[in-house]
Amino acid sequence: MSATTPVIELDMISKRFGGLVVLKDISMSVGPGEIVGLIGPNGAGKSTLFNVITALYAPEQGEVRFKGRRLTGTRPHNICRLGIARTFQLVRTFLSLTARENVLVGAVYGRGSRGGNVNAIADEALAMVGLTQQQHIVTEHMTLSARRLLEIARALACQPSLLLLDEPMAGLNESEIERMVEVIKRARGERGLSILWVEHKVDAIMKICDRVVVIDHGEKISDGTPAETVSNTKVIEAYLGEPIA
Amino acid sequence: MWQFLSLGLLAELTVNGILFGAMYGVAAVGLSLIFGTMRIIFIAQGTIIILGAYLVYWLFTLGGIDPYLSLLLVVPAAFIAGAGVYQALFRKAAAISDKNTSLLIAVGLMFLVQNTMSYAWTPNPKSIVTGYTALGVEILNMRLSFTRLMSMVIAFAATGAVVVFLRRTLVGKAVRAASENMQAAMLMGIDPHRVNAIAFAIGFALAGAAGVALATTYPFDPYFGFVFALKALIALALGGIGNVVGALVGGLALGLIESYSAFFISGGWADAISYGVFLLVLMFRPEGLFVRSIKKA
Repeated sequence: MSATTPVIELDMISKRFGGLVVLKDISMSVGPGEIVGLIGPNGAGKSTLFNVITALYAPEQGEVRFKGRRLTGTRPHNICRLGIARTFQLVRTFLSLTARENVLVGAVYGRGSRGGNVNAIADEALAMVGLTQQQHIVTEHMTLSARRLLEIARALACQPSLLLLDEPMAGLNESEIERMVEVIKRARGERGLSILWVEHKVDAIMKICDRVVVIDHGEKISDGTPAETVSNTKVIEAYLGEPIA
Repeated sequence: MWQFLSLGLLAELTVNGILFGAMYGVAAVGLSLIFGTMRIIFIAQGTIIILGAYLVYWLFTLGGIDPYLSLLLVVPAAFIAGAGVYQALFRKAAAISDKNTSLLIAVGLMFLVQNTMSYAWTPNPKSIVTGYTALGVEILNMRLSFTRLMSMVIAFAATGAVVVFLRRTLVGKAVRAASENMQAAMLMGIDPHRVNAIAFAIGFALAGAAGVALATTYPFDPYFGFVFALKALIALALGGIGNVVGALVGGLALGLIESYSAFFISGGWADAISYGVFLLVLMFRPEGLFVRSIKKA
């Protein structure tokens, strides 16, 4: 693997549900240590793209490569063990388990054959998101923002090289969003993680991401720096509608 | 019958209800575990219990092995058989989102085992008679059957072991995680086939223990298993699906309901009343009687 091999590479991915085309010829990549934002109007196909990467859906066409290796036919639990961890738009922490137990699930099962002390890994992941104090609370009793942070800790405990974030800011208030931004920056800064981040809070994306990919109706309409993205007429049309005259 | 009613009789009805209910409970715990990861009611659970009972009978009559000693053989054998049954019959079906296929396989398995048992051992009821079958234990002026008491101990110990496994071990935590959200568990590296196989293995092991408990206390025939599974289902509904301790408590409650209604109303009404309670619970408290109201995220 050369230094320029992307961590994740999507090559002409198409996905249909019956007659409905949800993704059409999507090609994109995330490089080592890069944070890429993925935005688009509701129903653009962002979550479907995540589900294709994590092998919950098999694409009709195209392939996904992780560090140059084809992922076609890999079962979802092995995707995580290879080094792709994710969070969920609708939070899916294990409610009957404590925060620490949630993180331990990632540390024990999510890391494949990577060695190390699972307790130390769990401690570190909890500390990274600032939940050390709350680690023995059963998740059912935690706030939404704490659960969202916990999902990130659980994903970090899998020691991934690629982190997929599915709207980690959804439902959070301003101060919680600030905290989340700090956590994401730290995860990248301290771990050198690559991050692919779906978000509706476009301003947050524009502040942190190295690159932004925009999809609309299942097609990629823009791929560039935040500055390039905001001046792209296709993007403006997708979000605001076509100009009248 | 009121003229016969005394405090002692009431106590005896209660104790007997609890003793029989413990067996419903342990069957319900098995159902609860398999439902947790597979999302199907494993309707063959009762029939597997009967198979366990036949195995105990067979070991006793042919091998002269004491029924309680045979726990050491039956439970591990059932554990392995459970994992094997999952791998052989359910693995493919578990991977598809439509659960009806898995349910139908369970129904098919139930009929297959029922009829094989009927062919092998005849449909006539069998029972195990040992030196201690008629033994009674005096506790607080009540004469309790030794074997029923042992059955209750087995049921409590088996449920306790499952609770410790789920709460204290890493594999147990993985099973709980998968029961809550299989997709999220999968994307955190948990192999769905592993946790399903573990749920089946433990479910069968519990059926083995319940088989010993049943064989030593009551006569059984190959077709009793289906009724047993239905009773376990009622216990599960009473206790709240997905709650292991609740399943045992649900079983105890059902045992009490049957015991009281058989005496105060009539033996013939006991079943009708327990199914009636089942419907009422599903209608008015579908989350179960012993669950604090569930908050959904």
